[in-house]
Amino acid sequence: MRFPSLSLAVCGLSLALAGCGQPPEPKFALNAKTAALTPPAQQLITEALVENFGTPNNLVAWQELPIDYGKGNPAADAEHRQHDGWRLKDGRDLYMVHCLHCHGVAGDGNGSTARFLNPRPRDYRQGKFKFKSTAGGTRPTHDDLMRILEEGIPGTYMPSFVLLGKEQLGLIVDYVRWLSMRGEVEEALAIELAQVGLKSSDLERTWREKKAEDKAITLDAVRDELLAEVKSAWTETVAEKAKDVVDFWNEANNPENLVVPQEKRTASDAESIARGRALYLSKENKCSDCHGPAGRGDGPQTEQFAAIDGASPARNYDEPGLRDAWGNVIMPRNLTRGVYRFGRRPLDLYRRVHQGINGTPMPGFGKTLKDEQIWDIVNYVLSIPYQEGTAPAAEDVAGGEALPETASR
Amino acid sequence: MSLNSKSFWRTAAWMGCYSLFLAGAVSFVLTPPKSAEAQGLHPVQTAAATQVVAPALAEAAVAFADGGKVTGSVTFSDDFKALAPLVAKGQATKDPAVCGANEEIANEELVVNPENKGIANVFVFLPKAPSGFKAGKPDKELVFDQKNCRFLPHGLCIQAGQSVKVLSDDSVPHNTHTFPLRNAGFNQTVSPNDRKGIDLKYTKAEKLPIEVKCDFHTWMKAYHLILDHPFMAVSDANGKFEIDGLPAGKHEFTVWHEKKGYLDKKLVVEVKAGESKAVDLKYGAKQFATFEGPRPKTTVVSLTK
Repeated sequence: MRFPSLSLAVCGLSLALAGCGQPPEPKFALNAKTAALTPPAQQLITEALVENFGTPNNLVAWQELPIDYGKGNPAADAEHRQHDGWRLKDGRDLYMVHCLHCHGVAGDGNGSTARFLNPRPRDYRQGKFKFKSTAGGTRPTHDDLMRILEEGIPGTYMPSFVLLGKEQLGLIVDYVRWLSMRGEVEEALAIELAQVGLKSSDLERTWREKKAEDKAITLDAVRDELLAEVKSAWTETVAEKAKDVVDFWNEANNPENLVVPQEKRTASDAESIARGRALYLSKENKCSDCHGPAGRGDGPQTEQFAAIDGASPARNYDEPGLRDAWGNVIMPRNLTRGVYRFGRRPLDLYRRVHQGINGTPMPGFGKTLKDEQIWDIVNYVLSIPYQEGTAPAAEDVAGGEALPETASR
Repeated sequence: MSLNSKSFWRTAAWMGCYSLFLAGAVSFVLTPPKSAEAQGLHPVQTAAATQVVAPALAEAAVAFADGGKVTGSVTFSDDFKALAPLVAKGQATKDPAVCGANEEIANEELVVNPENKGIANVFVFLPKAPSGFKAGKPDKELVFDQKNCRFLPHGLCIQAGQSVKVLSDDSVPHNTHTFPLRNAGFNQTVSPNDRKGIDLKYTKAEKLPIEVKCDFHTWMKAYHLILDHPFMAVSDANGKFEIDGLPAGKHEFTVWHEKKGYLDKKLVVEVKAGESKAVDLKYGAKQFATFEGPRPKTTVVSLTK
């Protein structure tokens, strides 16, 4: 052969092109709660969502939501910035490039890479964000989300995207907030329809009960009766759920919800650390129950069986361990590693102890501990990685279980 | 050229390569062109903001001073065998020195009084405030206590904006973790033997009672019903309940219990001004039936759906 490299190139090119075609159109996946409903009810929800949020390639900027979609500037250089809504579109494009493969098209934490990750990527659709500066159940602020993108989350697969620059990060944050709001509206509508009785399993049971009295009644009749009731007030229902979501996100900007220490941090001296250690191990707080007496995240609570949320009759999970709001097993933080997921500033640790972590069993201690005590605990926690093999004596540990002398703990 | 010659096979190889290349090129060209929409260049549509229509309230608050009363009892009409306790005496998996140390912790999912067959913890409430009702600020402070690692009461009726104090009568810490839909979640610890309590506040009405749990003691559960009016009650240990101050007329009550959910979505009761109307509700085992057999195994086929 005269030009072997040429033929190799031709073969390679042909093989490559033979696989080319249109990729499938991205779709917002349905929430599991929506998928459990009977198909006509699912359709009601899907239609409401498409009308108010659109599809990934065809976004709808719902003016009710507190998001800056971007006003068109006729004098802008880039052509697409001359139209309204350019910020949402740019945010979507950036999200599709950088975030989609973990967080999924709908922000459901179920992207193609997600199955290999532990902890799993965040599912935004409940509006539950763990790491924020606001009180317990409220939403994060814009700055909180920017911080996560700029710094990443140490100890997880979430990297820092600081190289994208502040403007692009702002666009991603707004798109993520938009995805979260969309997910919350879907979840609220799905729960509402499930409560009416439109879950497939509930509908069948109702039909069987009604058939005992009236043999001729059909499943469709039972379902249509419930659906008619729902449809008559549907627009108001959707508007009401949207307003709830809007209220939640606006509350995040309420300065009363920002967790700010009232006392300055006490100096991190030996006394403060000793006090913090006593509080950590005390039977009033029992931090050691989850985080372990030496802070390794191996406390006895990790061997308890958690109750399944909303299961009736009540039953526990088959495997022991604490569970987060998404049903995944979650380990209490191993404090000996010095890896803190939302920042290692003392203020960040203060916020975790004061308010807990939303979506996890970590409770807030802000209502039972004074600020000085929380600072003592923070000082102790920050010192744990630097203390070699200091498993506490048996009498110190709440519950008084004797720990083995060897340094295996 | 014969089949054996090298040149034949060389030509055949080249033809094969070219046809592959052609096939690839054709498939690439023949796929439907990307529409402007698919490329995401469609201008973003803006949906008009939908108006939320708030229910119109009467100008002057109707005091309902001459209101009617609904007194009722909820009874179980079949034989009832008490459910197995959640924690047998001394068998608690957590803090056994305190939880269930002297007394077992009963399963409160369905509580029927053995003497009068009254069902406890049944919520009876009006789903919406009656027309003409103006919600004032509720001044009574409610107490949500915990003893022997049980929430007391198991079912609590709260008006939105009412202050609730969470107390503890146990010498171990508890946390109160609520799971509301329209309110912000609450997850705070309560100190051991805290008789002053911590504040729990709900600002919005919820549609149905919400769960309250303790993460330290996983068997602990209670239900809170939060509405924007006071016309609700939860049946006591004898199955009795009372709702006072109702305006005269026909009212549609919802009857709800944690084991089944809705026991009655539209219980119609006619109330006359200044009078008390008695309502007797009877539910049998069939109304509380849930499937408690083996769980079907689910096979996850695709994680990307």
